[in-house]
Amino acid sequence: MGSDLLKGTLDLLILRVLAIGPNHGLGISRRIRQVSGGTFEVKPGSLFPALHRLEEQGWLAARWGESENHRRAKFYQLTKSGRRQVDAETSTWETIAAAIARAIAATA
Amino acid sequence: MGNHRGGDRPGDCRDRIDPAMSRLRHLLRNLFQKKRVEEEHDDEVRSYLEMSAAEKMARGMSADEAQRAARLEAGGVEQVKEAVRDVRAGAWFEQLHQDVRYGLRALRRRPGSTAIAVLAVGLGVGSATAIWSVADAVLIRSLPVRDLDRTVMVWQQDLTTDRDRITFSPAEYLDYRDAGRSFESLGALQPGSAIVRLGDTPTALETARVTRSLFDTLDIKAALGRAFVPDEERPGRDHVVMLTNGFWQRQFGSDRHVLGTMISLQGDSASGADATALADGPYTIVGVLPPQLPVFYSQADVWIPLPLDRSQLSRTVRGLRVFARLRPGVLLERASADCNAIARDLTARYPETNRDIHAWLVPLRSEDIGDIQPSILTLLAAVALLLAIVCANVANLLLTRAVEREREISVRLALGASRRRLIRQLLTESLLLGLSGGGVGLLFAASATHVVRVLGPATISRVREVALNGPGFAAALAISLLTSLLFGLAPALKASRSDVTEALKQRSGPAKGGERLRQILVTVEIALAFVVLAGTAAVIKSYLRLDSHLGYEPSHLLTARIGLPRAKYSDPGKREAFFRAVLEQLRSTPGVVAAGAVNILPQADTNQSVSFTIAGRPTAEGQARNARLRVASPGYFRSLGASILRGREFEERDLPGGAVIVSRAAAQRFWPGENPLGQQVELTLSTRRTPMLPIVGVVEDVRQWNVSAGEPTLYWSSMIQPSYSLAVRTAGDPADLAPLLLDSVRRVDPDQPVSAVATMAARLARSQGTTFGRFRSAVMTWFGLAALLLSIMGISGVIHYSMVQRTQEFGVRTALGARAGDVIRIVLTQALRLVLVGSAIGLLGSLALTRVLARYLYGVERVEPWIAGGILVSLGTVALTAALVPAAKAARINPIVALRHE
Repeated sequence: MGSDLLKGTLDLLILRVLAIGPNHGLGISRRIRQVSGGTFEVKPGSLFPALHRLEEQGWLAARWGESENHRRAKFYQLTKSGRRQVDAETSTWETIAAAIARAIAATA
Repeated sequence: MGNHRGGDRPGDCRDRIDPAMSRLRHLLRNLFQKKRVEEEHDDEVRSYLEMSAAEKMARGMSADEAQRAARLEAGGVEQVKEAVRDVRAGAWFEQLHQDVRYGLRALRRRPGSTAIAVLAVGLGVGSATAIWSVADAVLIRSLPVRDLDRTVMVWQQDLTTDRDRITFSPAEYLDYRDAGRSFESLGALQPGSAIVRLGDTPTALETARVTRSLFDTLDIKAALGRAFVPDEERPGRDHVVMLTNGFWQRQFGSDRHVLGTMISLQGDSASGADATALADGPYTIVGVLPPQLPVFYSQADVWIPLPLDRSQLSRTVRGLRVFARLRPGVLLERASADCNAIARDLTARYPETNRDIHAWLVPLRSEDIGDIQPSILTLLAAVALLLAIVCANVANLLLTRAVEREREISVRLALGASRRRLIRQLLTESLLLGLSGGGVGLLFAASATHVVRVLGPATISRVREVALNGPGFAAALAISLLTSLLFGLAPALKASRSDVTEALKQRSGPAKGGERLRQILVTVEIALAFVVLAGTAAVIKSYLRLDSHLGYEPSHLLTARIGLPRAKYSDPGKREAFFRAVLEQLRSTPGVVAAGAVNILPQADTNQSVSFTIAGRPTAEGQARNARLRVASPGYFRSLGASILRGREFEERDLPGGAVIVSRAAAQRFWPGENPLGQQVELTLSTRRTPMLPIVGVVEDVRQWNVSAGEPTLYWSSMIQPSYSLAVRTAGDPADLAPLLLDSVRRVDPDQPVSAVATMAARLARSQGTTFGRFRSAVMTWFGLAALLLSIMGISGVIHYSMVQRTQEFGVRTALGARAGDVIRIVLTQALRLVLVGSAIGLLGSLALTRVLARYLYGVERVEPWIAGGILVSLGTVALTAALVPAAKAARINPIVALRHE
């Protein structure tokens, strides 16, 4: 699937990664690769626009901090409304995924 | 996504507000702290790359390798930043800002052609808006009258002598009032004059005697005090006046306590000869009229009731201007038929006075606008042509630029600009061009309308209300914006569709299709310019002809009016003695060349007519003859400077018995192929008939106040009239003699006021026909100049450009052995062809236009060959000069340089 993530999927993945704890851009990217078993490779050209969009929506807050190997990095974390958004997007996704799975099963 | 799920949760409301607030906060931050946002993002991307590189180094890569790999993996730092910029709140604003900045830079890169385009649009839009504003104020906006569409002026006309706008006698007015079934209301106004004593000095006043019903007919209400009441129409109760607003301001300083004041009026002769004459005595001021009155042919100072008692009314003295409001639903045609039935009845009952007299109804609006309507239409046509030229100019310019920029656009596409963005940017550039032009146009239109409002002739109704017309400006601007967008879009689409590599390979040579379109545009432009210039020349020529065909010499002529009080000068002998003495005083004044008197001067807006019989011709076979009547003193024609064609001028010996001089038109109409000298005529005056009078001369036609000079006129030698206008021919500046004129009159009768002291040139300048003629030719001259200027810009710009485009071709030709002369010949032939084809089309257009103009303009029957030739030569010169300069340069250029030219 490479970088051609379904629209909306990337947002959900980012939100879920951040639900674990604050992280910076590279960390989020690595984490998505890891949790998706290497299926999703998120490049900065899609990652940063998505982060900024989510931040402007008020779901993420950003602050500068120090990374694990002592570098200055911008950390993102979920806001209160961001947390609600994770729940909402997750259940929406589950509904869709279940529906598609049923549809595939029915037409197989 | 979250909304339909979160609908039943308590935080729902906040869910929707938070994102909105957050976006707003970010929008503001993005817009106003742009630098910080950018820096922070730079830092973020850099830290990402550093961490990514650190990871790779940890896996054993060298520092250099790791950094390169990190960059490669990220996929272009600038692209990342651009992608973030695109999603940021306010991105559209950011991009618009950028487009505008690029657009301005692109326009600045070609300052010459940008300035020309902006000026062209400005000039065109500005002129169009200014003219539309004038037309709207003068022509379209309504008179302040309720039911304007139903309001008419009623006139009589004599179809056998082509005399129109004949006024009504009091008896005729009552006949129409009582028998007219089409009228809801009928009112009349009779202009006259009187002498008022304000303090010690007697002053002459212009008066208007009005019926009570006029206030209803024209919906006039007093601005202060009250209007007349029906009771005041009875003789004896009519000693009340209303002041016109202007007179109230001038004479009483707009004093509101003026009501109830008594002023002493003395009727002079011109106020009516019979029962309608103004009675001498004190009059009470009861009201003040509003500033704007829908009343024409009257510059009255005061309004006085006009009592009409049927038992003692004149049928012969006509002086009433009649206004009417038609009943709802009655069409003009039906009202005319109704009135003409009354006219036929009057002809049957009073053949002496009413033979061949018909009724003629003129809508108040046309009476108001008068001759201006065709002129305004002419102007609007000129505006349309001008806008067409502007559009052709702008289109040409944009096409030219598009060809120049094909390569630039291709390069930008190759470098990754999106097509949508590119098209948007080209459109922004066109819009900028159009808007700057519109700004210049707005400035221009605002100052032009201001000038017209302040300096425009007051005789044109509502000229003081001329103001910049918003919708007019919007329309003109829209047309020019549309043109720039349309012609800006076409090349943008073409360029963005073209194959990038092909376009880059192509050398910037002339694009064949564009070249053809441009040639067509130049041809159209030349044709349009030809039509506008020919139209302008026709209008100006008509005006000059009009001015030079007055029939008399208006310079060095001083005029004044004297109306004798009726009571003091009841004896005709006393009146003759008075005027004779005044003229003698004047003739002995140094600086006076000649002096004469006449009842109505040229350019006065009053008229007097007479019916007459010719000795030896029974009236039964010939109809009752009517002509304009002027009563003149000996020496009048010498003073006026009118040429005597046959016979002689009036002399002293003509006074006791009386003699007649006929105008050229009268001689042609009543004595065709005969010599009128020695013939005899008998005049039917208001109170009596003259004996048979000998015709002693024929005089040139003198233009009265309308365009046609050729109205048959009889001049009768008499000095016993109670009122005359003086015509004094002077050696020097006539204005210098005004005090001496007043002295001469005062020496004869110290109590006698003199009014309307003015030079003939000033009177002429004030008269409606002249002022509008001048106004029109000034505007048309401006149009002609604007059209010429715009065509010069357009034609020279395009020809110049197409020559520059062909520099390479000329280089090839020169390299192959062509001489400079050959190159120049090719260039000139091409330019000449454009001019000839364009002019030929323009000439056809002008011929059509002239047929239309001929109906409205005096002395315009055809396109003069010398005018057509002149236009052809000027347009040709412009085109050839524009072609020659780059061609000469191209011919001299080193072929190697030319071949490299791009």
